[in-house]
Order: sequence, then C-alpha cells, then structure tokens
Amino acid sequence: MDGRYFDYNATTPIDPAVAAAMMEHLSEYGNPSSTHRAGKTAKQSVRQARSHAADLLNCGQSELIFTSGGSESNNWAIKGWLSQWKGRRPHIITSSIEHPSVQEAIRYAMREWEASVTWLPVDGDGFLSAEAVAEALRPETKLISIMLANNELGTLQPIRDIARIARASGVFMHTDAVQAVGKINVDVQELGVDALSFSAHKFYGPKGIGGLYLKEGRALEPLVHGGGQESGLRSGTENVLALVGLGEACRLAREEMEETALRLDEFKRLLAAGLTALSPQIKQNGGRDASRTLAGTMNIQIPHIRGEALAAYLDHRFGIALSVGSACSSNREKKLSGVLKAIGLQDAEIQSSVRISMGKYTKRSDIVGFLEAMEQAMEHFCRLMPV
Amino acid sequence: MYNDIIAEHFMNPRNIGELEHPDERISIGNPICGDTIHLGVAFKDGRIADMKYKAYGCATSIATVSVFSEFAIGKSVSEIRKTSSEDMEAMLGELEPNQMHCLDILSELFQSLGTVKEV
Ligand SMILES: Cc1ncc(COP(=O)(O)O)c(C=O)c1O
Repeated sequence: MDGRYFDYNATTPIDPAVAAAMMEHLSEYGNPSSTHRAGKTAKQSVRQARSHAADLLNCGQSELIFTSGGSESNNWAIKGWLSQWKGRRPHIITSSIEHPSVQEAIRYAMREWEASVTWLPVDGDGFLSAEAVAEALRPETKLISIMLANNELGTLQPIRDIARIARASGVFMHTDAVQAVGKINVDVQELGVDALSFSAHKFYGPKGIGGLYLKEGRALEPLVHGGGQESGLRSGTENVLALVGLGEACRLAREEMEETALRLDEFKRLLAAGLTALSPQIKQNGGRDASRTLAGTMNIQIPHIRGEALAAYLDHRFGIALSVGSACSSNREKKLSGVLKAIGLQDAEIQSSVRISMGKYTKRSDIVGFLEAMEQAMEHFCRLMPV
Repeated sequence: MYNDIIAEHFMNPRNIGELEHPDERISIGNPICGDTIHLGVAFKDGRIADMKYKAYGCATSIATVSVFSEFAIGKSVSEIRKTSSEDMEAMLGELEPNQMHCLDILSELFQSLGTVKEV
C-alpha cells in the first residue's frame, strides 16, 4: 500500500480482503427483492452485510438502513426528521464544525421550513461541552445534530453526555459518525443516540455506500421514495456489490481497529516530535488529548509557508498526499476552512495549515520518510521566504 | 491541479534570491490572499541584466514570478511595456479559476516593471 498517502480522512484505500469479497460477488446479478434463486442469493449478500454492520455498531439489524454514504445519511436524518415540523419553526442545535452535508441540510431546513438554529461554538481545541447543549435547549428544540469525530481536527465530542441530555428532554439526537466508525469503538447502545451516520469508504470499504442507524421505534420521512426497499425507508434496488464490500469492511474493522489505533497513536507522537525537531515554530491545531482525538489525525500550521504550496511541493516531489486548510478562490475572496476559523485561528494561520491523516497501512518507515520530505520542503520554502 | 508550466516553475523556481545593489525594487502584495513578492532589478545598457526575488504565496503565484523573471531578464523596459495581455496569459498556460488571480499578479509585475525609468 502507498506509504506516501497521508489523506486517510478524505478516503481510504480499499482493503484487499474487501476487494476480494467484492470480486467474488461481481457477477452476482440478482435483485434482492426477487423471489427466485438469483434474488435470494443477492438478498443473502445484503443480509450478511447488515449483520456485519450491526455487529460493528452494536445495534439490531432492523435498525440499520443502507444509503449512498455519509452525505445522504446526514441529509436524511436531518430532513427526514424535521419535515414533520414544516413551517412550525422547529429549533435545531448543532455545532459550528459540522461537515457541509450537515450544515447545508440544516440551511435547507432554515430556508424551506423556517427552522431556527443554534450553532454552538467550540473552544480553541475544537471541543464543545454537553452543558452548552443543555443551555441551548428550548421548548421548540426538535433536533440535536452533533458530529462524533471531526474530519479536520480529529476531535471527539461528548456524544454520550449530549445524548443523555437529549433523551431527558425528549429531543431527537443525530450524530455524524462518519469519521469515527471503523476507527474507534462506536457502540450505539452506549452512545444512546437516535440516529448515527457512517460511510464505508472512510474505513477501507468502497465509496458511495454507507448507512444510518435509526433507533427502534423512531421513524423518518424517506428521502428516496419508491419501491419500498430498506423497510420502506430508502427505496431503490440495493447496491449489492458495494454492500458486500461494506460488510467485509465492517467485519475487518471489528478485528483490527483497536490495534490500528494504538499504532497510529504512537505514530502521531513520533510525527509531533519529528516536526518540532524540524522547526519549533510548527504548531498543532486543535486538541491533543489522546483520549478525545482520533489517533490518525493531525492538523498543523507551519508559519510563513502556505499550506497549499507545501502540499503541492510534497505531492510533486515526493508523491506525498496531504490535505489543506485553505485554497485560493479568487482575488476578492479566500476559501478558508470553517473548522479552523471556529477554533479561532487567524486567516494567515489557516493558510499555513495542513492536515496529516494516517490509517492502517501507514508504517513507521512512512513517518520517517514523511519527516525527511518535510525537511527538504522547508528548505525549499526557506530559500524563497521574504525576510 | 497545476499545469506543466506552473508545476515546473513552482518546483524549480528560477532566479530566487536578493540582489545586493538593485537599481529598482518592486513589491507586490495581494491583501486578500496574502501573496507577497519582493523583486530586485538590475539594469545594464538599457536592458534588464538581472532580477532576483523572494516570494510568499500559493504555488501558482511563486511560479508566476519565476516565469516573469525568466521572461524579463535580457529584455528592455520598452519590450516589457509592449507585452500584450494575450502574451502574458500564454506565459502561465491554462489556469484553473482559483489560480486566475495569478494573472493579475503577472500583469501587475509587468506594469510595475514597465513604468520604472530606465537606467
Ligand atoms: C465528518 C464527515 N461527514 C460526512 C462525510 C460525507 O461522507 P460521504 O463521502 O460518504 O458522503 C464526510 C466525508 O468527507 C465526513 O468527513
């Protein structure tokens, strides 16, 4: 696997076992809804996937609805729940660091259904407190949607405590767990949420497939109406092949994620030490508390070097893949990461930030290679730097 | 993505550095995106004999000043002044929308150098 790939939060390579499982089912063409033998085989594949996914999340199989991925799951949880209060000004509590698929779905509810929203701020480390959620509650609060793990910083929010508050006041609680599932133990019973989104391509499965956990007894208005697949909640002939991959990815995650997280935690420390040795000016963005952050995610700023330029250099010279906190858009406006803004970074700090995200194929030697490449990149930019 | 010209110049910028005794200094900054270029120019016999710069900015803006320096060295100021915007555009190759601001940087470089009085 490519040891120069440091963008696992964007997407992950497909695990060879996942690929093999999908290959094996490639010519299986039956429609799971058909009653003949071809259909039954396909139905069995879907059932198997559901069983693996339910095991990973510790939920009932009937509580899992497959979707086209994290964005659809987020959209559906938000719109499918809020549509019952159309025009009745439902209130939503969310955070200021949500993924666009949550933010934009909420904005849609504001536009179309006159929803009002409390965008809870996070502290300088990227955390929000359960107390802040409790304080934001109103009689007309109908939905709390707060992400479990943040894609840019890796910070984990206290979803269990927030869900407790939601339950106590009878408010529907959704969490976007796309960056958490398959990386840390995500147990929906323990979390106590009503709905939880996940996506297979973030944990070595195929893209375009994921799901929503929906607690027994909760109902959502479908986003996709039709032939009644997925218990009538999400119509459309199942993406059987992708589901085979998702199932296998879930099965592997259960076996591997704990050990992977331990290894990545060590790599992150190695990386942090190496970067500080390169330049004491390099700063880490967001919380560093290992118990409240994803092991594989590190967000840093390198003063006086543009993150975009650094990433371009590392890519062209070394084939190293990173992700950046800002991009040029035009002369008149800049596109800066909303998450980094939310933790209070200045524009220049955001422009010099990059995200390093590692995963199960990252090796210790890759960290060493990365640090060597960083050293050369910094030399390159130092030569250019105006004093 | 970066086109071949931009990638090549960005990875291997020409004429980086500072002139000890420049005849002209040009500074360009974009307050919005924060790109900054400090350029020193030396003239000899009515031509641009040398040019060095330091730059902070996105990959494309660094490539832009490198492309500019390579073009300008050896030219006279009136040749700089006569360069058409079509020629400038061609120098950078095809740009993506978010790289277009570098065309403005390039034309500002041309304009600044075109208006210095020749030594
Ligand atoms: C936190 C978070 N939520 C949602 C998504 C969207 O998931 P998908 O790519 O499966 O639509 C992503 C992926 O970028 C994510 O990081």
